[in-house]
Amino acid sequence: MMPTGDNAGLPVVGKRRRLLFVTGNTSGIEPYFYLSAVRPWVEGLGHHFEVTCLEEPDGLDAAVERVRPDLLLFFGAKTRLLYSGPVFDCRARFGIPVAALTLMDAHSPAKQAFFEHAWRLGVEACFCIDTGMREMCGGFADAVYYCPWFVNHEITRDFGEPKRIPVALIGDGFLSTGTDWRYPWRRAVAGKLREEFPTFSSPRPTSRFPHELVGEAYGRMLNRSLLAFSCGGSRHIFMKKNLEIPASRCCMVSEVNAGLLHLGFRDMENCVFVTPSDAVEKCRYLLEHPDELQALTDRGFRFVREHHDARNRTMIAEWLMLRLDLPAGRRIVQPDVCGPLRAVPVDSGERGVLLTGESPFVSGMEQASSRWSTGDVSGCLAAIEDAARMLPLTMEPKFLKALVALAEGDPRGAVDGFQEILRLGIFWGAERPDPLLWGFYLLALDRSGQTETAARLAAAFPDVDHPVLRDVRASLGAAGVGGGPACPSVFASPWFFPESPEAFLAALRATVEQNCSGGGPA
Amino acid sequence: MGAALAAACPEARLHLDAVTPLKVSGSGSVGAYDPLIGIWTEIMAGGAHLVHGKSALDLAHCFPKSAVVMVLGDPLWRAMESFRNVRKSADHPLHAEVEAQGFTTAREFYRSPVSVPLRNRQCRKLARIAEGQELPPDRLFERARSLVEAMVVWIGFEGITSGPQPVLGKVIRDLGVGSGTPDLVPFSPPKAVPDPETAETIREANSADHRLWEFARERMGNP
Repeated sequence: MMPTGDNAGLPVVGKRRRLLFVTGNTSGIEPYFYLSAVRPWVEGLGHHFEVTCLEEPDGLDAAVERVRPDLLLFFGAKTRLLYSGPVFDCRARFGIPVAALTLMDAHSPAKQAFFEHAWRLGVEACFCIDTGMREMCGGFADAVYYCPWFVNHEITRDFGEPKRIPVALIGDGFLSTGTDWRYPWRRAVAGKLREEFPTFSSPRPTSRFPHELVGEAYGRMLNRSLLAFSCGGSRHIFMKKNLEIPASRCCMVSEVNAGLLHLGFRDMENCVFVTPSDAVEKCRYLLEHPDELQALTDRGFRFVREHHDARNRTMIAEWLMLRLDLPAGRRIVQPDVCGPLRAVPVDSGERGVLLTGESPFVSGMEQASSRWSTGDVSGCLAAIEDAARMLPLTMEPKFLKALVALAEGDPRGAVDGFQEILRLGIFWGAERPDPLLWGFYLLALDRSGQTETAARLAAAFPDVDHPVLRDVRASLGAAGVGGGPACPSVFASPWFFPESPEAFLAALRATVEQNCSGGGPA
Repeated sequence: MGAALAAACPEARLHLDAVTPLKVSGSGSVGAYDPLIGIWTEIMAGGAHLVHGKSALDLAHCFPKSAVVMVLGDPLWRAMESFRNVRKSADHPLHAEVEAQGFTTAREFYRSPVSVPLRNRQCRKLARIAEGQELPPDRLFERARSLVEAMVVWIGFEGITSGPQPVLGKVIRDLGVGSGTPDLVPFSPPKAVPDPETAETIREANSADHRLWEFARERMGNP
């Protein structure tokens, strides 16, 4: 849907509400990322709120007392929330709405750490820049709202640079012979482009291999380019670069995907959509028709500045307005990324918009799940490997593989698989395990003969609860552990449990009993 | 220092010398229980814990609320000690090369590219640069410095009389994992003091460690 009408540029909030933005300590963030991604949010929220930032870990109570905010918003950059102070249910303690804003990719291994931290802080809405988060966060999906990147006028604008670069290939994945499978489309187009046009290439800077083409230098380089390529990666998400290119008065060339269409991008109207087979032809046409290219570039430039500015990102303010007057029995949904949020009955089947279903990664996971459900275990494992190759640190393929191992009679393989996910969670700062991950890990330990260890661990984390975990704990002699509200799980997804986690556990137990009674594997 | 602390403070709850927690992919086990998960479970069970040992710094990176107490070695002394170890230990990876080249002085060794793996070791450890990976000294120092600023709450200095005992004693008492001041043996400087030219050569080869030393001392008020 085109972002016009209801949401075409002005905030919907009449009175500016007070926002306490708990940024936490941002000093560990890479300077280039802080400049290009973090600071714009801190400043952009000022269009909609009276913002007070809080960095110190110990001053939350005093800050709430002083500011008397209408909304408490925690911030997470690429990992878990940066707030490192005491953890408690802020909604219960302060009696105000509590939300989180994260710049994390949904395929990040830090995802579970982020959600469990947010859950314990009483966060009821997570605003994400990743437009594929809902497909990737299991039981948290209804709490996820999209608030995509917006134009950063400080580093991306028309600097008046002369156009000297015909084709720019910026970022990772433009090596057709590399090992990077995160960007299958980039791999497919890069070789042909290099054969046909002078190209400028620059990898994404990292902490280990930084370079100087960041900040304004990056914006100026895009401004010097006629065409610059982007895409949505293997998950077809809306990327910051999708705005940086047109905002630098450069023509964006991309793979078409649902996210770009939802955000109003149209082929030859404000950008260029190409496939690997027509990329060279369309680029050549535009380079040979500079007037047409200039007009297209100008339209893209105006489009993103008018429709994808910080002022257009009204989602958090909209959510707060709805939340403050939300009657009992209603919940808030986001039917479209750029359309208005609205309140619907709790039992309504309406869910937030899903955008990445046709991406290679999501299709791969769906294919793996569907093959397993039809008994094609080897086909399932092959599909898992394909998905894992695209995003090697992502938890979902690892979890499905471990679950398959557990169900197919390889508990030691399952222990390995679940432990690898737990290690990733620990590495990225998780203070509690995911309830389903923990439950099936305990089960795998028990079945691999490590019952004593499983029983000891079953007593740990009493504040992590879930019907499946409760069931497993009871079978390990820890029936009294838990009993609080069930924690959502990032793995509560039809990819893993087509019916429900509880049904999966029951079927797993039935299979064992059948085997024990000589019935053979199901 | 970890072993000394373990001996001085047996109540310290977690000793980590045997744990290598951070291989986040490919655990290499075959269904065996992972001790890192036990450590994590114990730490998250509540209360404060004092951990030490070779893996303590790695583990601190896993836990955002960790406060690191660091004792920094004098880079000049550490570099001389490293060269002495290479010559003394036949199984040191650089021993054969040093013998083949006939290096008998630290100056010769640190002038040679053979010494690269042993340069700036403290910065490398802090910045968690793996064996075989290199960063230019400026970037190495910046990375180590940012980690010190983010995580380290107190720094002790080799050879400085207000050594680590008092602060470690306070940490141990505050955490409730022990009651006394650990009876640690302070570091002592090497017996042979390098001549000015050798000192300068070592300083150039270990410029990141020297900057870290100066930065840390300034941060702690130039003790």
